[in-house]
Amino acid sequence: MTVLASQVSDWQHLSFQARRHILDQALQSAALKDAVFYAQVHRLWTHFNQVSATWDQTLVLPGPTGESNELYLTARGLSFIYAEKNAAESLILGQIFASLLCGNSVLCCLPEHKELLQQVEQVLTQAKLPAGVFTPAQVEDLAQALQRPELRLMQAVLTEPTQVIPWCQRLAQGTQVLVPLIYEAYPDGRTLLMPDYLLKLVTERTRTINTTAVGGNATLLELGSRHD
Amino acid sequence: MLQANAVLNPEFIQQAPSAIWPLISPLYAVDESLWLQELLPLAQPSPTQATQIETQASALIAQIRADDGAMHMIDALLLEYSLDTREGILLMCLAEALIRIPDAASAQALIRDKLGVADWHAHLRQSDSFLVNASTWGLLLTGKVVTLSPQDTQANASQALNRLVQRLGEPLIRRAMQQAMKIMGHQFVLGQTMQEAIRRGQPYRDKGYTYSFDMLGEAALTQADAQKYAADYAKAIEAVGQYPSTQAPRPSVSIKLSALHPRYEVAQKARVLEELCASLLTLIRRARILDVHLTIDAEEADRLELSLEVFQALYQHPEVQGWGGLGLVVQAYSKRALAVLAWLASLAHQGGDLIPVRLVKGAYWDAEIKLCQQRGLSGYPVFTRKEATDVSYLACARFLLSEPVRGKLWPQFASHNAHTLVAIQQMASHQAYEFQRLHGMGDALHDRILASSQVATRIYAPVGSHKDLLPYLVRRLLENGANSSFVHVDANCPIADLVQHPWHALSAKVSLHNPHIPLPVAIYGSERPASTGPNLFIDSQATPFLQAVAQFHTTQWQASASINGQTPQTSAWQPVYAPWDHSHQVGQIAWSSPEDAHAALNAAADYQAAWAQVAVTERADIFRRMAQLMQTHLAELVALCQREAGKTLQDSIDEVREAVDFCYYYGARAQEISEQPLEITDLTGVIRRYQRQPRGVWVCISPWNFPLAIFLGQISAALVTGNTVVAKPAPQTSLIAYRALELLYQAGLPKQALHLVLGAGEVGAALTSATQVAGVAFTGSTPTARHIYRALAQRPQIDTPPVLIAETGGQNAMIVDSTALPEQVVKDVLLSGFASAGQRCSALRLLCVQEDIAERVFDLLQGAMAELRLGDPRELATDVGPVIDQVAQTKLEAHLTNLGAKTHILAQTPIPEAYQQQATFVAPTAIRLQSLDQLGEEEFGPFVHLLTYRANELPQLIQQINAKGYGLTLGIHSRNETTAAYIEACARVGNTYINRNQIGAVVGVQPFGGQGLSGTGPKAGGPHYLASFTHLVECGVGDQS
Repeated sequence: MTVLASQVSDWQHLSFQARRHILDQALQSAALKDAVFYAQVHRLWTHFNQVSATWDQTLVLPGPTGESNELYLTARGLSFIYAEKNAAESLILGQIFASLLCGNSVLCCLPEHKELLQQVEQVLTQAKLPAGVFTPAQVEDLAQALQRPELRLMQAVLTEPTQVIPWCQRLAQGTQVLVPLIYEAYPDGRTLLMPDYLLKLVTERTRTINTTAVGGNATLLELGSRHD
Repeated sequence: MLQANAVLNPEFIQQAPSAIWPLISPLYAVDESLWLQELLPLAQPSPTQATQIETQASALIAQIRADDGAMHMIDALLLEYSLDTREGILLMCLAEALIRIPDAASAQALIRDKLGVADWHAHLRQSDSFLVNASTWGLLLTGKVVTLSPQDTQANASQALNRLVQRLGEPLIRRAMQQAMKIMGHQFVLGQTMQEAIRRGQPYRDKGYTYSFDMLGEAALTQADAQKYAADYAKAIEAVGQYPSTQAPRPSVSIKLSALHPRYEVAQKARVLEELCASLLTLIRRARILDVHLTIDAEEADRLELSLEVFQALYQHPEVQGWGGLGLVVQAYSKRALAVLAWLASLAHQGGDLIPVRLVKGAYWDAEIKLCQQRGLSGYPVFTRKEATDVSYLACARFLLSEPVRGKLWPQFASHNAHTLVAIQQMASHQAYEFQRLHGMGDALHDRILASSQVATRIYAPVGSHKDLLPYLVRRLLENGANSSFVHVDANCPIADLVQHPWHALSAKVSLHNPHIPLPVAIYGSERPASTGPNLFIDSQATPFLQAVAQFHTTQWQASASINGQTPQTSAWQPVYAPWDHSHQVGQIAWSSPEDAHAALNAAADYQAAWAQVAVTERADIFRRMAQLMQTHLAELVALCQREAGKTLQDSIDEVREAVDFCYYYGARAQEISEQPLEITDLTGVIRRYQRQPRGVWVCISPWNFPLAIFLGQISAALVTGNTVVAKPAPQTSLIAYRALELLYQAGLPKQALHLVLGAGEVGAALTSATQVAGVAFTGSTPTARHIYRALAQRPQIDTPPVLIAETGGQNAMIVDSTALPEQVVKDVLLSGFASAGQRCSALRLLCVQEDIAERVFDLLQGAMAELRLGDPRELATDVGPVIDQVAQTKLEAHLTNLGAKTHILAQTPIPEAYQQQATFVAPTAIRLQSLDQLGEEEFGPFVHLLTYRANELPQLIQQINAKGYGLTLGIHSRNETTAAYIEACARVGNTYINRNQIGAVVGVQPFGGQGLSGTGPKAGGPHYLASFTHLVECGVGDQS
């Protein structure tokens, strides 16, 4: 269950576009393409790509002259993904690929979907996902995983909405970061298809640069002399 | 408002200075177009004059252009690298930082950073100037300029450079660049010592020029620096005093007041007038004996009135009377310039001693504009068009050259603009004035003026170490850019374009002000207004505002729960005392009970559906009205923040401004997210229709450190999206919350939509365990957030977990590498670490300085901390107020007591005796650590921990900071943009601030919030925040697609 910090960091720093390219290759592998659930996975993947299409661009925010202010989206960090026994495989793959697309590293515990887990690991490795970004976990590791200080998210595919609260309670017992539960409890995948879903897997960052410190305020000077 | 043409009336300056003084300050931010209408007639030439000026200026420029040797090397450099080129900026950055960087690795990295990106090649080919080429490549190797091969001239510039670097090796390049920078320094600075300056200035003296020597340097941050500068000035006066007399006027010395006092600012006026005047008198006594005239340099607009007061105190001092050698610089880009000149003339009329006055255009133009926008001021103190500055310059010149002023003021016209100089000559009916120019600039122009007229010319010449060069160079370059000086304009520019009279140029504009530079209130465009505040350093704004605030110094406020606008049966009222004086009562509070909390929740639940039906535009309008109401009640709210929360004056203004911004911002954004129904086809092909709806009832738990801004930020977000709210502010600042509630009701918010309960943990627990709650917005400590998270999860009888938006604390670091400017770093550390007594989530807790410059940074910090002032937050002079209460004070003091053996206190600002009892002050403290392991939990107070690191340990340092788990703010100080970008990318924080302080996030500009232990997101004041208060609710199912 070792997560390699350096590779994880590299993965986080890749652009959405670059990650999309690697994950696309994984999804194109014959092992997944031939699966019965592939059409649904493809549908989810298309949706995620549409939602995140502009996420490599920073949002330039208005403000005083002589300063640049930008907002951008980046990975939250380590996500623990779990699925219940009868969870649809397409939804599990949806959670995994969404999280990876957002730059998170994934600890994946699928006690009832061992074959799928193996398959996913294999296709991701073949697509050259950096080592340590996707790590299978055993159910015995669950308690320990939920206590990891670097854990930032828990994603789950549940079959019963009644399971949501027990999971929340379990997460609330943690002593570190407040780890939110991002779950899909409908077999038709409606939650994953919501426009807000992917945003829950990323974090926002703001970058403010005093541009006058490195070379004066050329923009303002230009405005000062611009013709009306 | 002053009638500009009235100043030409001889009787005007015969008034007492005290009669003219009140006319100065109101012009600080006067309507620009209105004021220019007043100034234009003074600058207007007669048709004959206009023709003569144009003819003479054209001839002058043509002569200079025809003279091959006329272009001085500095002129060539400035011409080649104007600020509108990327290369000009990069060269400036490189020169600014390179000489002062002590370690080779950082210097090399900076060179790589700056030289690798620009099209240097174009400049290399375009200019024949030795200096330009030397600067371009910086490749003076053992006295030889490296020339490029023919292939290089065809090649891509950066590839050529890379090849060159590889061929020569980076250390060699670095030495060469440093050599080139020294050459630049040599050109800009007359001498590193007065002796050298006098020696190098002799050829110009022989030509008939005289000098005003300026001791280069930044403003003093410490007493030690101020004393050093005072000693430098004293030496300069001695040296100039020994200057042999010639026919040219005697040289003088220019004095920068901010170099002579570590707190040269209006807030410290009492100190400044006593200490600075004493120090200046010492210099003046000697200068008078040696007959060395002194000129007080201009500072930023905020300090103008203070400078004038200092000047008056000195001018009227018995030891100065009868001298006539004390002068002043006036900046024509200032809207107050003409009034200042009129006041000086009346001062001279009354005192009888001549006052030398240097009229310049002004060099801080862009900084003035930026500052006003950041502070939300009512207008700009400077003109926004260069033509307007030129008009102002000529209007001031008209006054200075007028007959009534003759013999009272001695005008010194500083300009490098041929047209300006000729216009002044045309305007003058006498020769009782002189011209001035900067060392290294405008030689050819002034040589000809000097040769053709009897008017003296003085060269303003910087003297000092080359490493102090560039801040000065930057200002000069900016001045060039702003004022379109003669040298800045392309040599190919038609002469006719250079000699257009500014009166004609400005009069031809559609508007006299520049429409491309919006007023501070309008910087967000049509989306929303920006919050505004007064400038506390400008008398015409500060005095009425402070008087208005003082009216609330004895007000007693009351607060209690409010449920449907009603006060429930309350327990006894309890007094509230100010944290800075435990005998000063602010008001009284009736605490709420858990039953009140339940009643409030029920009331909120009852009304939620009705409130959700109110149109979003109507909801948004309520918050716009609230923003306006807060601006109207600014004085009261400031007084309340000062008295209940112990916030300083500026902190209190900023607090209200942030609250105003939240209301405007969320009002604007709410309308954006109110979407039409959304259709989603699920994986089974069923089309589902969704509608964005409010979640229901929100509990908003806000902290005492931003008692108004965060309180309103949370509840406005929840309410504007259609939720109802039960708010529980921090018990320490309940009065502020209650007053805000009253204003919200006044703004039109239905009383059933917002309910207030007052109290601590018991009330909070009642709220967070209730089943009615759909969401909680919380700002406070990480442990409390965890506690709330558990409480929400433990609630029985629910199937959907409520949303928790938590914004918690941080162990915020600032990383400073050796390319950073230490003076700027220390200013930002003081603000980031000690403003608000360190009681900000964003406050600096850990300062990491590259070891190569640590000693200088820590020395400066130590000295600057000694200048901080703790005290009554109602006083403008107070920098640091109290911590919020005894619990906080005890915890912070325990931290100092329990510091490990391997730490030590580098500096500590003492608590004045008057505040050691009956108040909760904590001494601002800088604590040196040996390793990051010694940094424990967040200490929410005025403590900055200091750590040094080696340049090659930067990756590990960032990793260690990340490993702490917090991720709120990060400050970076580096002139190396590659390094700054690397740190920013690797650090896991919510808000990064590069080359500035790391506090004071502005709504909609710097959305605020962290990650990891610092919060859940989304960011407050950001584009994703409001959506969290809503959810998509299925409102219909269609056919299979």
